[in-house]
Amino acid sequence: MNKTPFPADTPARRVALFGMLLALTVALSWLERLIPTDAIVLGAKLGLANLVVLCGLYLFPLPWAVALTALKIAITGLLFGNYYSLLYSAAGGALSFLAMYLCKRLGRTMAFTSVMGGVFHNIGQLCVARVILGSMGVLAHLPALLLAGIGAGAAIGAVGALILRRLWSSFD
Amino acid sequence: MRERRFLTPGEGIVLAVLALGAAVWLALPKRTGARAVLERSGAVLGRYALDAPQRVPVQGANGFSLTLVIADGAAHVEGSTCPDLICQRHVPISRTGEAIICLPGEVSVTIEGGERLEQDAVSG
Repeated sequence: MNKTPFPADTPARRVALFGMLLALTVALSWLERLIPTDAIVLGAKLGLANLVVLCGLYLFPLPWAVALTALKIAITGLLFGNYYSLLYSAAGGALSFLAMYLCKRLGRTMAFTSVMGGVFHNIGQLCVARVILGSMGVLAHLPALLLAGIGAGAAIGAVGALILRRLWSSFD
Repeated sequence: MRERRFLTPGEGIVLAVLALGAAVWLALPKRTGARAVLERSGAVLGRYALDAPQRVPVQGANGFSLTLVIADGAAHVEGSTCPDLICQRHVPISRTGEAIICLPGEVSVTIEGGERLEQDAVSG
């Protein structure tokens, strides 16, 4: 990876893009709340806001991408969630980000990276649920959550790849 | 980076195997359960037969409460006071291993037991 993740990267441009993406995570998180996917598979979400995290990972140097993810979790957690959902978001988000970073470092495609992000987000949340509830019952949800993670991750990854392709060409 | 393919064949295979594995696991025939096990913070509060309709008020952790409802041979949750209501939106459960979880209240309802259909036929 070269030092300028996107063409014509200047501090001002990067800050502006960072702010826009962060605002977008809030909008997407709100939009996502209107879609009750978690009734079908317990606690499963589309991960629309993860689209921004994914793009951030490819657009920014690592510290910026980490900051974007952390701020996204904190802001959306405070706005729409509560202490518990924040805890689960943080666990899922951290594991998901780690998985996606490793995939990207290993030169995986954006779609694959996104799927791993979705899968590990759900695994992270199940782990927290397992610890808090102390019940093995949560593991019954693993296969459904894995499938949901793969499906949502692939969809988000496909959209992300399209967006970055357009974004990059608009800088040329 | 820009010319990269959407998904490499290797990645496609890994994902297909993963998805197939999860799908098979999910599709494994599950027995209809016999009882709903109610737990709070890992401690069993009670076991309720699925064939006896009833409503069980539950005092969860952190001041949250909900009602476990057994009806039509399945268990679901109503009247939760927790903020996200994921447990309440969950569809009724009746198969062994299925679970409804209220995270804020640290309450879980898991289905256990259940006889095989052949045995039911014999006893009936």
